[in-house]
Amino acid sequence: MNIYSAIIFSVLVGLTLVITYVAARRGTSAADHFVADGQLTGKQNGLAIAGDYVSAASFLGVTGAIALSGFSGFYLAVFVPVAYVLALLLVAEPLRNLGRFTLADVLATRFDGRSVRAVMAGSTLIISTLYLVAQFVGAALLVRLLFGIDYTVAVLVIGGLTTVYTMLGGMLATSWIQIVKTTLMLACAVTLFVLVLVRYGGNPLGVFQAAFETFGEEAVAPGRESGLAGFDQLSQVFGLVLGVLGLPHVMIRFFTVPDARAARSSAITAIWVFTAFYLMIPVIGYGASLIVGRDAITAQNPAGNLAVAQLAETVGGGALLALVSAVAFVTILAVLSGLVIAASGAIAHDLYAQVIKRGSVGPRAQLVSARIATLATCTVGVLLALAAVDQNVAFLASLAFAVAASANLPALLLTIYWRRMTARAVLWGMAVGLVSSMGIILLSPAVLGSSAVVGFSNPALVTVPLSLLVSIAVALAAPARGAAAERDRAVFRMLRTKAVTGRGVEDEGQAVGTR
Amino acid sequence: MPHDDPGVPGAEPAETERNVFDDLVRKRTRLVGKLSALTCLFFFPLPILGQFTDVLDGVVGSGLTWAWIYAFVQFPVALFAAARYSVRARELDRASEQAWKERS
Repeated sequence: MNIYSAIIFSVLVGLTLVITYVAARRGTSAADHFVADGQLTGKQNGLAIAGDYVSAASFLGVTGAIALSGFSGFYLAVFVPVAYVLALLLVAEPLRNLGRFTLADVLATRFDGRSVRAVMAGSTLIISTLYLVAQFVGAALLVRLLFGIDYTVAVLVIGGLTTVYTMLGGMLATSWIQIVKTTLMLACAVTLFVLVLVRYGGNPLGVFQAAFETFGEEAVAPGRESGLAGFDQLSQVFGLVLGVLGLPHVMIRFFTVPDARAARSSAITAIWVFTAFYLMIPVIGYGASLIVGRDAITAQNPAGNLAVAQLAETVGGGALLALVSAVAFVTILAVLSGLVIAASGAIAHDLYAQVIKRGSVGPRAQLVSARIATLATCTVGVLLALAAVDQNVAFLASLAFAVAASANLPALLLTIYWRRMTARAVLWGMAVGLVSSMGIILLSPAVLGSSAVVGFSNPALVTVPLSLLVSIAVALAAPARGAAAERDRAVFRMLRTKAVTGRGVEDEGQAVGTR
Repeated sequence: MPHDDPGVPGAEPAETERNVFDDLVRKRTRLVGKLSALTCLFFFPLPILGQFTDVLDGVVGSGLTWAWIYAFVQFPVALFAAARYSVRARELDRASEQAWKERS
């Protein structure tokens, strides 16, 4: 690490700690911890939401993929605005109107039994843990590459900072760190974009032309895999689009705003940020392959994860490299913090307060349990990351998306929109989604290599329809009858009015679901 | 019955009020369904055509293939869908506010 890196790194980490300190002084309740007590504006939340994708994975990973593979690398980016349009249309406002702290709260509005809440909480924990380990390991490896720090030290530093942000500052600190980081990340992208364009006469198409002339059609046309690999690629895109709508740490951000209108504004702001960011990425990616060179990129890291850092150093010197590296580091911390908040909500609010204690937990105990759950989650994350140092964990992020798409999304959508949905159907659909997606990936080439039982590693094209069909079949085969059916119809009517208008009979004293 | 009397706090809305809210919910659900379907129908051919055909391989000019153009267009289309929904949703919000005001 050089002097530039040390200074910029210290300034950024110091800033995040100041944010955490200010948030800690304002946060005195479980609502503050889990959802920033709904204080964020739509635009602030939109920047925070965008931060989960305008991340190290995008900036470093997608750019590196484009540098080495051309157009095919952009599949990892082009799905993002589509996914968030679907989030805006299908779930943003209903989530805000129906939920409080967690996705399980949304389901509990209609199905207030403990088993539905427990299964959704379990799914949240599984998804968040998978994603957490993947991010933790990836983060530590990246820190090792960028700063030359030992892997174990990197894990402990990352784990320590994440624990401080989340335990003391909760969702408010996490969100503001995301907001600051997204702004800085955009600034880094603009800087690199401009510096690359300067070398091509200010013409973005000049970069594409140069890439075509240098590397041929394979750099600008879609790459094609044969047989099952083609199905795998398509299934990955399908899973990425739908998985976003079921990712707990992303969807709970719709609880951090005061009303549905702000939730709508959040999604729209995020889409604008994605548009601005991802339209620059191809130029930066091709710029890296042309200016740094593919051989030099793969020599540093075979997957191209350091392409952006190498480009920054080439076109902007040590200072720009230091800035990009430091921003990438804070990015990692921000995403990890969001995952920890989601997991701690599932543990403290869903499993402990609602399932075990049946809702009888006082405000002080809620906050204490939230902080204990946060500490436990960070500790488990650190331990798993240390244990996984030599493992290929890249498949864990794909697994998280697949489980989110297969287990959570059908349950959420059918609960919100389908009159005939039942609690039993939720349980069956989520169980089938969870087991099938995890089962296929664990038997796939991503885990077993050449000994794979299943020939593809991205199960969403199979498991999402399967989970949906099972949910629908169980609901139709075993519907509620008699008085229970009447009650279900009334609850659904109130729920859909509340999901859409923000108000229901609850406003006049009758409860709908748990609050 | 008191349960159906709109004057009683916590009561179910009367039939005409239920129709107003049902109508608003139906309009919102139809809007959401239409825009979601259009968004998916516009996006998913990109990975399908890119993966299984060479239809998008042609270079239009300056190194830009049809694949890149189709990919870039996803962004303004997403913004358009979001803006369209936002405008219609605001109209439905106003209608919803009016309905709640008349109810109370």
